[in-house]
Amino acid sequence: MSEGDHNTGSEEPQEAPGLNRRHFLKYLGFGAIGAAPLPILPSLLRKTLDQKTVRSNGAPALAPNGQIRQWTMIIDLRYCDGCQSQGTPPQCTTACIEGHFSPEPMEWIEVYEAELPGDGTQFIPTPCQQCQNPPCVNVCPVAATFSTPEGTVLIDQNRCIGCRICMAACPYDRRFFNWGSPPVPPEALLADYSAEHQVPAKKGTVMKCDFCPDMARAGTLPYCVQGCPNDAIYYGDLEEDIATNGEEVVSASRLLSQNQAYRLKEDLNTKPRVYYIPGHGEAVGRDAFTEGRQPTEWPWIERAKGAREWKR
Amino acid sequence: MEAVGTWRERLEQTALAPVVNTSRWYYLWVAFLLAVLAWGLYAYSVQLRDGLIVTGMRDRISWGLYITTFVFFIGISHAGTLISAILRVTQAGWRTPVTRMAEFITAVSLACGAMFVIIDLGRPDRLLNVIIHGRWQSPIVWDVVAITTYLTASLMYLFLPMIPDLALFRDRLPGKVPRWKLWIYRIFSVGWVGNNSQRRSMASAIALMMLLIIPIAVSVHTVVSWIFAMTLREPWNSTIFGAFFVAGAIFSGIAVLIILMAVLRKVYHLEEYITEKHFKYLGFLMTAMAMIMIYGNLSEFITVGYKLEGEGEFHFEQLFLGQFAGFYWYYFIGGLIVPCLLTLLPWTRNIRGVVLAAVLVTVAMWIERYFIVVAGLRVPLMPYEPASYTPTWVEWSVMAGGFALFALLITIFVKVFPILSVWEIAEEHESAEQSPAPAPLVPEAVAAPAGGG
Amino acid sequence: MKTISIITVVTVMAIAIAGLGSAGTANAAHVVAEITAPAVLEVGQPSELQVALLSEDLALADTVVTAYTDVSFAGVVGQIELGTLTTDASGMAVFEYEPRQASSHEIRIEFLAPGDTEPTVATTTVSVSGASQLFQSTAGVQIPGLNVWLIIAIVSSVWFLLFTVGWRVFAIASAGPAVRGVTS
Repeated sequence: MSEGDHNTGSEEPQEAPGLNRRHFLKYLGFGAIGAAPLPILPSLLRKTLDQKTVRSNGAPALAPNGQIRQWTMIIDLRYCDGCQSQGTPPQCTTACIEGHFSPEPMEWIEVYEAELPGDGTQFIPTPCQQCQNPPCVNVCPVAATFSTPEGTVLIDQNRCIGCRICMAACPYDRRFFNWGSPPVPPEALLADYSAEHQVPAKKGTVMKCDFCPDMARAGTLPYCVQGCPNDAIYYGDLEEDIATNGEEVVSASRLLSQNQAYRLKEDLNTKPRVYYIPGHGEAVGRDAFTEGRQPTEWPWIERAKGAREWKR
Repeated sequence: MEAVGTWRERLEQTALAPVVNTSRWYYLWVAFLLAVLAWGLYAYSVQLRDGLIVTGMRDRISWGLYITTFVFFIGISHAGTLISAILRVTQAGWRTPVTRMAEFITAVSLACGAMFVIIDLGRPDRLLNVIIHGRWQSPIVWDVVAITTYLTASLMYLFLPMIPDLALFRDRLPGKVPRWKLWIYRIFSVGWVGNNSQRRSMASAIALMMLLIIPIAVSVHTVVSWIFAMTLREPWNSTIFGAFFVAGAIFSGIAVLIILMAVLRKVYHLEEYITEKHFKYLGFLMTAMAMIMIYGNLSEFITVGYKLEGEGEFHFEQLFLGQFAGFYWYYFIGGLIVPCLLTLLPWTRNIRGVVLAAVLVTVAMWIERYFIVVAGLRVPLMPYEPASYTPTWVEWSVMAGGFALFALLITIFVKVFPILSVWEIAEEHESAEQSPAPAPLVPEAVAAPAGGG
Repeated sequence: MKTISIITVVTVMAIAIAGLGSAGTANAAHVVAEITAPAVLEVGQPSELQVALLSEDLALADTVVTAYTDVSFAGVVGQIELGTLTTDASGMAVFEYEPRQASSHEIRIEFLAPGDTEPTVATTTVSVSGASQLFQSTAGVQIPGLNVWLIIAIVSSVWFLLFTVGWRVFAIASAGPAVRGVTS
């Protein structure tokens, strides 16, 4: 039932032969008035209200010969000790917070301590899983969160209406809401907002790890990869089948296959782009029974004025 | 015929009375509701200024009282559908005195329910984005479309059978009520004089609406449940949710209707028209829905609990033994079992007993929505400590304001529009006088869609 | 683990062969490595890289060969392994090579010739062309006819019916004698 069919019916024929037919056409006209707004009204509103495009992500990142990059992250848990050996909060989280000014208490890459069989623990740095079958994108009513051609999921905080259904839909607890005016340091206010780095944060909208696509496009590794002192996080491109932790370059497929990599909650079929190599920090000398990590800090929070903080 | 005349006269007087006479208690009641509403508005202004930080919701339990109340209000909106449409389709003659009230509840609670979604938004200023950038794939957009359709349909369904009564008001009230009211009656009675052509048009319109509104109503609460069921949360990830929500909606709708009936009967002396029979019949309907709810509970929890897959174990612990146990068992025993007993046992099967059952059910159904939303979100997704949620004064105040608005709109409706469907009661009365068998209300009803006005 | 164990076994075998005392085992200088690659390499097309090891014109069998290619990504320069194989009786090892990036790549092979302590290295350069997208993420099942237009059609039908009901209100108004009084 396209709107075109109805538009022809909305012109009322004055000299229709039969009463019934005339009424039928009238009803058809009313039906057109009823049905036409469904696709037409939104596009008209879009045209009149939105001169600029709302989505503020850049063009897809391309490999040297034009293929679209397919960003991925491979986290080698054998090398992750939750920064116990450093005696610091997890440095991936810290680097992310300093780079994105993600408001307290948002840890876009959060290092969970999970129990292992036998009561030991492992640390799992968890960024947004960048699902290829993303539950959050599916449910968003306004396409404020969307999948990019590079296979990542971004949020446009200029469009988000704050209904939080994406937070209900995310099975990884990887979405965060600006419950109040987000605490933002002065320098963050100077940043030019883009969905690709989400600075400055906006009140009443949802945020999450964005996979640093603007940096990756320019050939810089994400903050968390740069921040990891043990080089446990690889960032790469599945299109070129390549990944790097900043020290060495590896074949992504070979790294995944040779180390029995897995994805979180694989049975949900969300198809994440974040892979894990099982481990508990043994490669950097962590004992599986050494528990605990330093709490995350927001070093710039003192410089953020006039905002109320909240807990998760 | 003389007797019929005075009977009709008395009926009209009863229907006209609320519009003509206003007691001091009415103004006090309205003042009270306005005060609560004003307090709710103040609380909402605080929320607008500071953001949702003033609520108890946080990242892990990101929906709370507002969404609970939204689901509750959309639920009780099903009162109108059930009483008016289903009973009209089945030609249950006893429905006639209560249809109008049921339809009031539908229209008002839909408006209030929709309001709570907007209250819950982090960015209500961007509400239009739902139309500008709406995605048909999103359950929220399904809700917007379904609720808009249902609100339109239920307003039409409220309006259509009211036309003859509005014409009655138009003819009988000049000089007795303010001019703006007369103006409303004149406009909305659309020149009704009750000639054959008008009767035919109305009969076919009502017939079409009553057939149309049932699937619309079912779709509304189904898509409301899909807001939850379309996620991967353990307690929500359920195929029974749509049917369960629809049953719960009709259940709570009947309960609220019984309460409103009891109140209006008392206040406006409708004892002659709304009798114990109506309470009993509605009580039976409520009991039937309660049994469907009990069945739904068993079906859902036994299939899940037998296997206890995934986080089901955590959810069962918190729901049946832990933090939400008080809520759950009140709901199951106080909201499902006891109301059944109250309406089924002969010595409580009276107005008092049925109204008590309805109050229990109304409270229980709000609580059920609460633990569906909050307990569902509390199940941890990752290795973290389960979150907790305590509503703040802002949420309680806004919710109180919402209920006050609901009551206020009903109160105003009652003051302006006929609370009894005079012509339908009269028709039913006449047909009952003539023959004991219930006569069809609208003879040409079935031919309606093809006929044309 | 599997790969490592194979390497271990092969190494042991190599030592065993050396231990048999086959006189005049070629040292690195005498081993010739010949890498043969197809003239045309396409992005995403699996191709074969043939490595032939000859020691004084005799095939060098049972030697572990590893192939690498040079890469650079996000400012990090390195090499990725293409695979590790053992030469067969004719001294051949055939690597599966699926280039993922068009440009000129340097292929490097390394092997430890019997009796050597330092690996021998040989290189060649291949030219890869093409730019087809290889990695595609697919999700969902497409069922014909089951799309948003179905929702729009259903909603439109319902609203169409609602309007026909609304039209009857006008019919009521136009059938009444008081119609002028209402509109004035």
